[in-house]
Amino acid sequence: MSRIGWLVVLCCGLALVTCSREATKPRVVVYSSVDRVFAEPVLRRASEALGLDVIGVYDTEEAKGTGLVARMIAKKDAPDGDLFWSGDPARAEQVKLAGATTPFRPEIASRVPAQFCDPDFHWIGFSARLRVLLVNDAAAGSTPAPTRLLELSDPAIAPKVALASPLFGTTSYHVAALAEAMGEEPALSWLKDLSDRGARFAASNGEVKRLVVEGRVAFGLTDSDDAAEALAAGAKVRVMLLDAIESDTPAFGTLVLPNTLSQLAGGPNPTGAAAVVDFLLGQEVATMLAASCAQTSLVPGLESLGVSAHFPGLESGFTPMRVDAAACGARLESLLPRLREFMDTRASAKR
Amino acid sequence: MSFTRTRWVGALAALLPLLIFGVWPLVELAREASFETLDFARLSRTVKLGALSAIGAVLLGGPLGWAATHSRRGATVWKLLLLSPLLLPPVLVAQGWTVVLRPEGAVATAWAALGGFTSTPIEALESIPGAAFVLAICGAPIVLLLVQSALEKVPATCFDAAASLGASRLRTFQVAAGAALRRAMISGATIVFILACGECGVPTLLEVDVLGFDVLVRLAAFPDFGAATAAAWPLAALGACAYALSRRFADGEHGRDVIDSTDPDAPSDSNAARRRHRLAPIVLAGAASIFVLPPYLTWAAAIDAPSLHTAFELAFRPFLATLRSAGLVAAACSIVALLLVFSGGRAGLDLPARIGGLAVWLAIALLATPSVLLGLGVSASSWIPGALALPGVLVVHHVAIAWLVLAPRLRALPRDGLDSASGLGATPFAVMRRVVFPALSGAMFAAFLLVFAFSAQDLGATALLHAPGEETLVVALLSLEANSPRGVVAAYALLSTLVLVPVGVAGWLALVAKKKTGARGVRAGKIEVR
Repeated sequence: MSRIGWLVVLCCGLALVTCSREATKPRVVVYSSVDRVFAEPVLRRASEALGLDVIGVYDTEEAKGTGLVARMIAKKDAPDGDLFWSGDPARAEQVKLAGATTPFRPEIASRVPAQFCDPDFHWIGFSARLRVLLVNDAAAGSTPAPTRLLELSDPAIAPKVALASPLFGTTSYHVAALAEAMGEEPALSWLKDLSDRGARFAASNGEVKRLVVEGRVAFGLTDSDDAAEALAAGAKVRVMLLDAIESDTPAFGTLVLPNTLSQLAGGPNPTGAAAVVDFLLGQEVATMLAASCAQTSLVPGLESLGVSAHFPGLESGFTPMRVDAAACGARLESLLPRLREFMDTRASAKR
Repeated sequence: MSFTRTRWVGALAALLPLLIFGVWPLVELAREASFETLDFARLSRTVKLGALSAIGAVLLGGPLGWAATHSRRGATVWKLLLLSPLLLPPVLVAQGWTVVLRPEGAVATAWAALGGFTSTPIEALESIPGAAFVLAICGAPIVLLLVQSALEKVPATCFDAAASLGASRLRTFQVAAGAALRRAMISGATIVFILACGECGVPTLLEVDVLGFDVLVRLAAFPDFGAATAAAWPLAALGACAYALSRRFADGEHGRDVIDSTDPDAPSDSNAARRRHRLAPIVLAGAASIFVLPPYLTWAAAIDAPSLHTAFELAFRPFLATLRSAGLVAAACSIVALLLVFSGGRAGLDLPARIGGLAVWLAIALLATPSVLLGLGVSASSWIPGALALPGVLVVHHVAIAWLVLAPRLRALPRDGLDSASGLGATPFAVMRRVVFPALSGAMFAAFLLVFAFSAQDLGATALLHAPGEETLVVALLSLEANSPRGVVAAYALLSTLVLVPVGVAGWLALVAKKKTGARGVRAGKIEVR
């Protein structure tokens, strides 16, 4: 074949694959930091139910959110997305503070408890995960499992503990909540004790789950969806709620991590976005998320059918940590440089 | 249009995308930067990681290049297997190895049975040497190609002459192939060093605190685009320094071997068949079994029928998107690199040549800059059309690779031909079409293939800039990873490899076929002339 022939074949091939996509329905783009395995079926169902082309843009563990939060902030002047479905309020707050979201108030939002909504309605909580302790009894041996968060830094327990880097995701939110509850210095001092006494700081919550499942550590502080996945995969681990019962000793309660929805400012399809918001806040999604990743709906009146016995609902009697999510988001801004310094010092000490 | 004016146009046309999609985004981000004191410990760890990766790639790729030159056709499967990491993102290879070396796995069990080790295999992987091990496996194919090409160019008569004069085997090899091998290894080591220094995913996964990891932390935790850019400047400087240093040691012939390894028009040794060695296929098979196959086998073991079905469903659109994106980028890169090469011309140091030279240095520095930063900068520049953002960033990030392939071939063109053509009144376009392009078409195809491989595996810029619904295979895989059933992730990983490798193989076979046809054509031409 002549060179021209090769070029023609090449151009035809490229043209073929370029023209292979068709778009007939109105499109709504949802950025989602919730694990794709849980979010994609929901968005696919939304497409079917609403007659829209609901497309998800997902996070990757390796990019640590840069693929999503950074993308939304970077594109805030010309957004290509309509909604942000976040796995925790910290990221929603980050996007809000960057000026990438706009206030919105769907009717159902008035029923969501105020502690799970942004006061300015830039984000609304609608479904929650819990912060849990994943326990591998075989790896724990004779070490008793802690029942309180602060016990994790106990000299006998800390060497068998793993948690994700406090710089990222839900762990950073957890540390911010701790700092709100007990002050920045005690919270950082607790982290330092953990580090000095041999606790392992993993790259992500998924990595924490892996370490516990493999028996490399006995106790892992992680999220309930990661724990649910480990149980579903048949791992020989169990799940505990820390600080679930109030007593005289310092107790903060179990941290509840609401999934949040934000509307991106200047998104291309606000009408379609409103329809998707109503769908995501409805009973069908509550049921789907309960079944797939043990989430509990935050909207009173909606049932979270199918939540595993390992993950009690909010109404079941455990003590939820009293958290002002917006204050935590703001606290995180001031706390992160200190956390970075802490992690740098830790890395230097390790070397 | 005169030749000088054409070279002006070429230089500016090549420089423009580099400025728009490379320099401007970084300047845009740097305006917000709060430059801190450079952490020299982190910089030194980055250099260590890059150096260990480059050394590892040379130690692995060098012998494999020798084996590839001296093996029979039956070893093609092993060669392709050894080349397949070139099509995979390093972070995926690293994940594969974390599964292979997991504590309850066979490797860890055997390791423990041997006794006497202070750390487990997985702990060994989560370190600078461990990260370098992964990056060396991903970089070894580059060295393999270079060494194979260098050895194929050494005439068999050199070996015969040295042997008949009584030289030992080692001395013969050293004298006949030493210079070519040195150049090939320096070229390969440079490319691997630059890519390893700018790598973000593998250090993050394996918790190795180097500059690439620092960039991701600054982006994700704060997110502070300016600080991340500030952390990336040393990477660009490292890339440029490595390139300058390697040019010095490679006798100014940098990249010639890259082209000859893939270019169907490059000379090859017709006596290669005489030098086949019975150990060569064993070396290839052994290396493929130890360094490449384990992650693939682990993935394959985790797959079941429903997982495979799910993975098939999920992979179709990303596969098309990958073909579209990488194909477009590879074609554009080849063209920009051609303009770049042509602008430099052969006249020496006039202004267009200097502009072309500046563009080359820029391209090399941008190759060492994490693509995620370029993507962020382009996103922040709202005047750049969204549809152009991703291709533009990937083009400027990879154009240096295409340039390395094309430049030596243009320099090798006889100047008389170009001068005579222009002296006889041919327009620059005619010279380009009738003289330059035919001579460079093979090299352009080679550049196309290499850039296709690199841009298909890009994660940073693609995760940031891909249009909704247009995610590539790599981005889709890494977004699926968290909490998806292990079988689905394994099936998707294997499927991604299996669908990308044939694209590379098809291109490769086309090149081989063209090489044979080309060789016959040249001989036929000579006969006709006689």
